[in-house]
Amino acid sequence: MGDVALYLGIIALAVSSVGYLVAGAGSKYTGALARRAYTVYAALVSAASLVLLAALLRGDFRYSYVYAHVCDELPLIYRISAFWAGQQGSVLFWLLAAALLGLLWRRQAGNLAMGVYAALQLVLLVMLLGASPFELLATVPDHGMSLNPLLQNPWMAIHPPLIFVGYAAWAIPCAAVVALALGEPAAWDRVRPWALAAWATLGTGIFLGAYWAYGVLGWGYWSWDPVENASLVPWLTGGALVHCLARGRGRSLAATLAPLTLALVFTATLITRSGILADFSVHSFSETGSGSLLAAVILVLCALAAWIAQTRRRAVAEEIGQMLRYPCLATAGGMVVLALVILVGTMFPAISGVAGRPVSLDGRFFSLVTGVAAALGLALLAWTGDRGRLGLICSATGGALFVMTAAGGWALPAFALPLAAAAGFAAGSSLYRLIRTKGRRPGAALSHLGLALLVLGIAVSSLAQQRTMLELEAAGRPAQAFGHSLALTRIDEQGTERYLERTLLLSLAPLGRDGSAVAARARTITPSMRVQPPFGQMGRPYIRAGWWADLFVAPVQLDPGTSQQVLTLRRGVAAATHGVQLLLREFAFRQSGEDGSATFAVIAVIEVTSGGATVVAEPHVLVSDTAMQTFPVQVEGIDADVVIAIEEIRADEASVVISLHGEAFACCAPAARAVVEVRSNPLVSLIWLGGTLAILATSAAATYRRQAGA
Amino acid sequence: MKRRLIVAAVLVAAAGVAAWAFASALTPYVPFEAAASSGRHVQIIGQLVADSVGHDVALGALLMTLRSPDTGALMNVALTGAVPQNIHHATEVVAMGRYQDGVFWARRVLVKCPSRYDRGG
Repeated sequence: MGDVALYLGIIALAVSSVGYLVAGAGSKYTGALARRAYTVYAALVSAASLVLLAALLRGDFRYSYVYAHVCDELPLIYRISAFWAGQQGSVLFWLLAAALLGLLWRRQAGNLAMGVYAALQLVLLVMLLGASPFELLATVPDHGMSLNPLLQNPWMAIHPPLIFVGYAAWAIPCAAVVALALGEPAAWDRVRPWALAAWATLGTGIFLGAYWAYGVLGWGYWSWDPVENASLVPWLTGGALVHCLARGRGRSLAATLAPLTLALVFTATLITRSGILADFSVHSFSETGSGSLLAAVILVLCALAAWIAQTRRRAVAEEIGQMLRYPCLATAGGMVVLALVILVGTMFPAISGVAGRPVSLDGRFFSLVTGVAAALGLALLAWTGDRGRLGLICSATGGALFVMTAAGGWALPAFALPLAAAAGFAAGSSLYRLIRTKGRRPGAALSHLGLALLVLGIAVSSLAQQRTMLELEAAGRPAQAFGHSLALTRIDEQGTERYLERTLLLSLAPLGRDGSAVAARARTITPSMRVQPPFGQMGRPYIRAGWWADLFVAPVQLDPGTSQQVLTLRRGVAAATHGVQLLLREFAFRQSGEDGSATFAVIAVIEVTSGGATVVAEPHVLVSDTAMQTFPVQVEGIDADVVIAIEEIRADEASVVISLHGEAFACCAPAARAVVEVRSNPLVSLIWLGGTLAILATSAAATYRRQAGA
Repeated sequence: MKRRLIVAAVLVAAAGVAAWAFASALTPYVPFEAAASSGRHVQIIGQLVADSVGHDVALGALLMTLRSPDTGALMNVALTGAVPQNIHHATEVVAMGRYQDGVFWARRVLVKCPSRYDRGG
C-alpha cells in the first residue's frame, strides 16, 4: 500500500514539476494544475509515511523494515524513532520533510522555483523506490530484531529528523538560484530567512548528535568520524552562504554556494550510505545501490554551481576581491576553505586507497586546522567589531577572562591560548555590540557570542580532560577520583534474557576540605550495562553535569557475584550449612518424552531441616543426549529462604552437587565487583550553553528576517 | 598594501600549520607485523578475540586481543584513551597508536558494530 502511494506520488510530482516549469515559461494554463498536483503529491507522501508509522507502531513483521527495527518490548517513542533509524525509512522521512516544506515555501516561490524544487525531490523518490521501506518478507517472523540499543535514547530520537529537515531545506536556496538564473528572481530575493532556517536546523541536528555521542557513546562529543564530518561540510558551506547574504555583499558568491551546498548534502548521503569509508568509521554501512544515482546528482549540482559562477564571473571576482574589506565575506571564504579541507581530509583514505595503501588522518589534523580557522575567524570578528573605548574595554576584558580561565583554571598548553584569547576578544566585542544596539536584531551578535563560548568550551574540555579507572567491590573500600569518593553498594539485575539490564548502585560523595567524603551530600548514582543479544553489551554512563566540570562514570566490566553456596551431598550423609541441614535420601528417574525420545528426568530427593521443621525438596534435571537442563525448586514449609538447584550428578559415587541460593547465603557469597571509568570533563557546560545560544539566535534571525521580508 | 601583506602573512602561516598538521596526522593502515617492527603511529584492524577484554587499573587501560583477518596473528592492545561504551559488542576493532614492548598502545579505537544502516545482525 505504501509503495502504491509512492508510485502515484512519482506521477503527481512529475506532473507538478513540469506544470510549474511550463507555467514559469509563460503559460497561463498549467499553474493551477501544478499546484493541485503538488498538493496531491504531498498528501501521497504523507499517506505512505502514515502507513509505515502504523506498521511500526503495531509491530507488523510482514515488512522487512519493521522486522529489522522493532521488537515487542520496544517502547513507544523508539517505535516512532525507528521510522528514521534505518536506511529506507530515513529517506522517506527526508522526502516527507521536503514535500511539507514545499507546501510552506510555495507561497513565496515563483513557478520556476517550485518546478525545480519538485524536480529535485524526484531524485529522493527514485532513491526511495530503489530501496523501499515497504519491502515484504516471504515468511512472517514472530519477533522483530529490535532497534540497536545505542539508538534507544531520546536525543537519538530527535537528532536524525532535524538533520533530514535541514538537508531537505537546503534544496530551497538551490531551487531559488536556478529560478534566478532562468530569469525569475522573486524566490532568490526572499531566500535569506529560508537559508538561515536551513542552517539553524542542520546545526541543531549536528549539535544534538554531539550531545547524544557525549552521553551515550562515551567517547566525547565529536570524534572527526567520516559520518560526522560529512554533515559538518554542508553546514560550513551553508554558513558561508548565510554570511554572503548578510548585508547583501556577496550575492553572487551565495548564488554559487547554493547548489554547491546541496551537492555536499548529497555527498554526505553518499559517504554515509555507500560504504567507501567503512574501514575508517565507527559507523557500519551497507551498500544500497543508490551510489551511482547520488554520484550523478552531485556531478550535475557541481556543474550547476560552476555554470552559475561562470555566468556571474565578474561579480564573483569582485566579491572575492572585497573579502579584505568586508569581514562577513572573509568569514565566508574561510568557511568554504575549511569545508574543502575537511572534505578532502575525510575522503583521504579513499583517495590514497586508489594510489595504493589507504592512509587515514588522525583526528588531531582536523582539530588543529579547525582550531586555527576558528582563531582567525574570531580574531577577525573582534578586530572589525565596533571600536570606541567601551568596545575595546569589553574585548580586552573578554580576552583576559578567557585566557585566565584556559591557562589559570585548566592549565591549557600555550599553543591553545591564542584561540582562547581570540574567543574572548570576540565574546567581549559581541557583547558590546549587543549593548550598543540595545538588543535590536540581536541574531548575529548573540550567535557570535555563543560561538565564542562554544570554542572556549571545546578547547578546554578536549585539552584538559582527565580520566582514570577504578576497581570497586561491593561493601568494600571507597575509591577516590577528581574530588569525589565512589563506593559500590551492589549490582542489580533486571529483565529477561533478551533484554537484561545490570545496574550499578554507587554511592557518590564529594570530598570535603580534609580529604574525606562528605556523607551528608552523598547520593546514589546508577550507571548501567544493558545486555541485549545480538547486540551484546552496551554501557550507559552516569554524567553529573556541572558548570565547572562534568563528572562521568561508566561501567567497564561488571561481575555481579551471586549469593549462592555450592555443596556436595552423598546419599545418606547429612550436611549442614548456615543453619540448614540437608540429606540426600535417594535419586528417582522418570522417562520424560512420551514419543520415546531419549530425554529423562533425574530427581534428587532431599530432606531439608531448618528451625525444627523438616520437609522434602525435589530439584531435578532433564537429561538428553546432548544437553542437561536444571530445574531449581524453592523449598516450601520452612522459615528460611532456600532455593536448591542441581549442578552436577555423580551417579558412580551416588552423590550430587547442588547450589543453594537465597538470603541465608548472601553473607558468604563472593562480593559483586565492578571496574568503572571515571572522567572529569571541564567546561563542557560552555559547549552546550554556547551552542544553544547560537542556535536560538540564528533561529530568531530567521524569524525576524522572514517577517521583514528578506 | 600593508593590510594585504599582513593578510598574506597570516594565510601563509595558517597554510603552513595545516601542512604540518597534515604530515604529522597521517596514519597508515598496516598489517600487525609492520606495526610491530616500525614503532610509528599507525592503525591496525582486527577481529576482537572473544572474552579477551580485560583491564589494568594501574595503567588505566583497557586490554584486549585482536586477531588479524589475513594472517590470524594475534596482537595485544592496551587502550589508554576513552573507552567506547559499545566495546563489548564489537566484532571488529580499529586501533590507532604505537607498538612498544610487545603491546600496541592505542590512544583511540573505532568499534565496528551493527549500526542503523545495518540489518542489526
